[in-house]
Amino acid sequence: MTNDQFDNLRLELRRGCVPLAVLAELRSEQYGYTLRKALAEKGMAVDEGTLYPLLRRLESHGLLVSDWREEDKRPKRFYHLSSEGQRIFKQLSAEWETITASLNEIMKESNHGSR
Amino acid sequence: MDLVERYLNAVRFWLPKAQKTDVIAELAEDIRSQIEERERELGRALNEEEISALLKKRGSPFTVAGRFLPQRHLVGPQLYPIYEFVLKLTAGIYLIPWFLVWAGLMIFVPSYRAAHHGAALFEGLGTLWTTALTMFAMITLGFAVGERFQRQSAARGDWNPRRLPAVRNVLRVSRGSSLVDIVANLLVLVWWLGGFSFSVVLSLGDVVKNLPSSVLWLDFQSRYFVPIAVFIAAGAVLALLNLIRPNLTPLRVGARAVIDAAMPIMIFLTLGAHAGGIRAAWAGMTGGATGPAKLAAVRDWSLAVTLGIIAVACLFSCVRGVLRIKRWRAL
Repeated sequence: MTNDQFDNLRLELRRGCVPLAVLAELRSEQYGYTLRKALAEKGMAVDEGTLYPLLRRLESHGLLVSDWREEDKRPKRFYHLSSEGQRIFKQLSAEWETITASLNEIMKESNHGSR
Repeated sequence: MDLVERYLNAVRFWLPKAQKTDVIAELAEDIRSQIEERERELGRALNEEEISALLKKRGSPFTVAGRFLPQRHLVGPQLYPIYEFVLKLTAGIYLIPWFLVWAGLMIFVPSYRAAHHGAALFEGLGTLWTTALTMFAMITLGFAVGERFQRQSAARGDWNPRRLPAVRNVLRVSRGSSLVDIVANLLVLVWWLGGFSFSVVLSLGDVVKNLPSSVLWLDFQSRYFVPIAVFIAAGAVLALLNLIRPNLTPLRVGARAVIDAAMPIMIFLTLGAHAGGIRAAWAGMTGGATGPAKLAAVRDWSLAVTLGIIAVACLFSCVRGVLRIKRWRAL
């Protein structure tokens, strides 16, 4: 497999996880830049071109609430989970647990079989 | 900060009106935060080159704005394979035969070739491009409209597995089709051998009786009377074999391809030999000829066009036969 193929598949794999990571981070209120930094520090770097449209989409689906406030003399848009967002986040977390458990099991079997 | 302002302004241009202010305010804040953080790390203000590099890393204004827009397409991934199929079908049924006729005229009709060289060559091809582009546009438009309806229909789950078409066996000829083929070949054979005349069938006897005979037709008949009779009879025999044993064999398909290949050769040779007459018929039809002379011109021109269409249809059938044999080898 070429590096390009690996990068594409890796990107695809991570792309599916970004909304969950964003919802998890926004259990506490943050604005775009600090959210991006927090995600990057935890190994989930998301470029701004992906993050901001995603925040808007999640907000338009009613999972996030945002409001403009001034901080350090500059207007910033703060995001946090709505009540619907909290409910969905719990469901997605449970789904994530199931997926990782299943994948671990599948990969364990594959490793066992390939020996 | 001038560069940042210019960048934001360029992004603003591509954004939908309703989102402009909101998106730009948030984007401006993100860029400023990033610059400030970098300046804190370096302990100095960023110069223009560094700001430029930072903006470049974010992507062009068009790309950045595009990420905020909903995904849009004329023909979506579900309809795309059908769209591609229809485009290919149109090319196969209309554009390729058009090109073949044009190529046939260029190769076999010296007068046409003489009249279409240099810039005039592109005039002929220009018509093909215009037609191709018009067809492409119309098909795309049709599918774009279909895409809107399809999305609604797919959302409703509007399909039934029982209505899916049966699997088609390309190596089998239906008995009905073979029967039609036999009857058609026999009728054409009887007509070719002089069994009846279309002018009688169409009750045109009195109208055409006084017209001079078509030189093109007489020449075509006299030159190829026997070969064509043999080919039509062979076609009837092949159809009879298909009726008895509907599963095709490479030999039968090959024989059909040979018959289909022979017909256009005879037609193009005849048309080439009578190019002057065909041009005169066109001039008579569109020019000042009147009465029986005009009627004769219309008849001769129609005859030439009909023969051309038959030749193209036979060529198409021949290519299909060859492809079928190729597929056989692949099976």
